[in-house]
Amino acid sequence: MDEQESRAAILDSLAMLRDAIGCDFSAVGLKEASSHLLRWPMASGHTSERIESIAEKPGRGFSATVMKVGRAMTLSMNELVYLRQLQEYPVFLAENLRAAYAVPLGGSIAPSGVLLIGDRKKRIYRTEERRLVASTADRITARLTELSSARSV
Amino acid sequence: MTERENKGRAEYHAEMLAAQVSGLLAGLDTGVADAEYREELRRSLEQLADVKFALDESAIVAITDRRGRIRYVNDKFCEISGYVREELIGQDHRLVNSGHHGKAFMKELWATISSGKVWRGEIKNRAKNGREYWVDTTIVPFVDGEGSPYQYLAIRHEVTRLKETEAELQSMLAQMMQIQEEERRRFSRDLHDGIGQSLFFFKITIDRLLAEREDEGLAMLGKQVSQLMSEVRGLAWEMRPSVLDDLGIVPALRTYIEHFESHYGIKVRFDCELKRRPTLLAETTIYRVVQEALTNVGKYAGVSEAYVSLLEEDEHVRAVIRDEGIGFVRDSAGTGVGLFSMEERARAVSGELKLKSEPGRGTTVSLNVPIA
Repeated sequence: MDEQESRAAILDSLAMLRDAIGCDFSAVGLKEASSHLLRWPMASGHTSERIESIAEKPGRGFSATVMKVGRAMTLSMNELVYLRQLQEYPVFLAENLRAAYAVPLGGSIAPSGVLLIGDRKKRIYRTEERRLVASTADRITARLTELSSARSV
Repeated sequence: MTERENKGRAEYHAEMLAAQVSGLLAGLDTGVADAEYREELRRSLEQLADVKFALDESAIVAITDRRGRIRYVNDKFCEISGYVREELIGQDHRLVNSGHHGKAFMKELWATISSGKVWRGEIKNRAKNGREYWVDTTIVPFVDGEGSPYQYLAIRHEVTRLKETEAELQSMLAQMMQIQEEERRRFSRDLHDGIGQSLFFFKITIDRLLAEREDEGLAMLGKQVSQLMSEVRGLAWEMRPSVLDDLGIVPALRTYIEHFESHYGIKVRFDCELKRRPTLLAETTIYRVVQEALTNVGKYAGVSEAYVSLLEEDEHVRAVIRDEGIGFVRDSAGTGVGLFSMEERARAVSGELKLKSEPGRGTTVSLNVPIA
C-alpha cells in the first residue's frame, strides 16, 4: 500500500469514527521524528484551515500528557481554562472545541502520535464510544506502521 | 426677578449656610398665622437644620459666588486648610490651589459649572502650612430663574490616604513586574547555561559510546536526551528569550512570531520600521505587550491572520497588534487580567496603551512608549 492509499484509508477511518460516535471532529496528530513537533496531517470535520499549519512544541499539550503517559485522556474546555492550559492545546482553539477525547497512537510504550475526537458543545464520552476510539486507534496505528516500514525500505 | 430681590438673596447666602433657621423657628408662632402651614414650615425648617448638621459633620463644605470668591466655609474646611474663616472669606479658591492641575483641568471645571452642570472629580489642594491633600469634590451650581448660576456649593471629602495608597500600589506593581522580569532572565540563563550545558555533555558522551559500539538502548537514550535538550531550550526561551537582551526587540519579536504562527496556526504580518534600539525597559514592555495581545488573538479572536507593526514616531515607539476577529465588549471580557497587566506595563515606562474592540469588528491594541 502506498502513502496516498494509507492516507486515504486513515481519513476514511476518521470520517467513519465521527459518524459512528456522532462527534463534530476527529484528527490524527503525528510527532515529527527530527523536530519532535506535533502536527495534524489528517482531520475530519474541521472548520478552520489553521489545523494544517499548527506545529506544537514538545513538552506541551498532548505531547506532555497523552503521548508522555501513553494513556487515553478526556479534556474539557472548562477544565483547561481553569488549569490555565488552554493555550497549550491550539487545536481546541482553532476548532472551537468544548470537549475531547484523545488516545495515543503507535503503542503505549513510545507513542508516535495521538487520535483525537472532539465536539463543539459539552459532552461526556461513554465507555462504548471510548472503546470504539481505542479500536480505531489500533487500526490507524497498523496503517502508520505499514507506512513507516514502507518508507524505510 | 427684580435686581433688589436678587441682591437680597445673594446677601442671604453670603452669610452662614442656613444660618437664619433657628431665628425663623423661634419667630414662627408670631410670624405665621395659619396653624397647619406653620407646623409644616416648622418641620421643614427643622429638617433643614438637621441636614445641615449632618453635612457639616461629614463633609468639607464651601460656597462661592458666581466669580468664585469664597462666601462660606464650614469648620471642616478651616480645619483641613489650616486657615481661619476670616482668611478665607472673600478669597478665591486659588488660595488653596496646589498647582498640581493644569489650566485645561480648571477650564473644564469652570466650563461645566458655569453652564449649570454638576462637576465631580478629585482635586489636590495645599493647606496653609504647605501640606498637600486630595479631596473628592462635588460642585453644585445654584441657578437663578434664567438657569445661570449665582453661586456654587462645593462638597468635599478628603481622599489623601486613598490617593497615596493608589500611587504606592502602582509603584509596587511596576517594581513587581521588573522583579519578575529579572527573575525570568536569571531562570532562563540558568536553564540554558546550567541544565542545558549538562545535557549537551551527556549527549556527547552517549554519541561517543555509540561510535564505539552499536547499542539500541543507548541510541534510544540519545534520542530522549535530544528531546529533553530541546524542551529545556524551549522553556528557557519562553521564560525570557536571551535574544531580547542581546540583539533587541526586533529579532526577539520575529522569533516569537514564528513560534506563535506554528503553534496557533495563525499567520502574522509583521511590519517593522524601527531604526534604533529603544531602552531595554521599553523593549521588554513592547515584547510582553505583543506577546499578551497575540496570545489573546490565538485564544479568543477566531482568526487565521493577525497584524503586528512597530513604528518610530518622534521619540516614541508605536506597537500595534490588530486582528479582524470576533472582538469583544470590554466589561464582559472575562477577568480582563491580561488587559490590566498590559496597561500597567505601559504605565510603568511612562507609555500609553489603547484598546479598541467591537463585537464582530476585531480588536486593535496600540502601545506608545518613549524610545529613550
